[in-house]
Amino acid sequence: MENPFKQLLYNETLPELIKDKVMEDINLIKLGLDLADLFVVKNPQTLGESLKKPKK
Amino acid sequence: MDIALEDNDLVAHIVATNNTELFGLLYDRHAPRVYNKCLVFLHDPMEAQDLTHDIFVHLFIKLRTFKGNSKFTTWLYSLTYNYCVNYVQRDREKVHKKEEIREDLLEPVEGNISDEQLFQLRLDKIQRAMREIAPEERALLIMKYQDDFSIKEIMEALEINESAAKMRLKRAKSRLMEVYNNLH
Repeated sequence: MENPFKQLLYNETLPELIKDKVMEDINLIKLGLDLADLFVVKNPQTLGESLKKPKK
Repeated sequence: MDIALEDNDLVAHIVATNNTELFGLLYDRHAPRVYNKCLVFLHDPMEAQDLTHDIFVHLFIKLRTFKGNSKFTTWLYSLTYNYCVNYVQRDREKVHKKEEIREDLLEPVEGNISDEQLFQLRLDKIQRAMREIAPEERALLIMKYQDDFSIKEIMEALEINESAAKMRLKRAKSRLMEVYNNLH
């Protein structure tokens, strides 16, 4: 017996413009993540390293 | 990068590198289907396009929580349905205060509608009945009968226990039949 719910799906085309908007937004998010990584993770590590007492 | 990568491997690469080009590949594979699923909940194409955009932006952030325990599409469609139901309910909640569903307080559903009974229904009338029932009931029926989610997958998608999943499914089928039988 055929399942009619399988035929319930629409078959509309998604405009390409939506992809452009998504990519623009996720590039901004990525930039935010990279900056956060730079200032919260990498910079303090560098600062920490430079403030360490030199080994005798 | 091999564009023939399986979804799970592609997701692992995106999470490890935050590579937006690879994410674009994931978008190309799944956005058309996600959009058409949004149209089941929102009949305005513009609104469904906006929601598809929001789902994919949310997906980029949420992707690292995908553990690969299920098929990627099962996980993605769960996310899509939850997003759509919340979106549709947001408008309803402006009118009605949110009511938490307490399975134990709801009246038990009498009788059990078999899959065979459901599959004998007419497609055009199912389409009309689906528009009348609550979005969470619609999502449940689509998960079960269009995407072939198991009870376990429904439990995970909705974060509910087994008896609640079975009860909600039974209730959704019963509600669909009720609306269907009252259609002219």
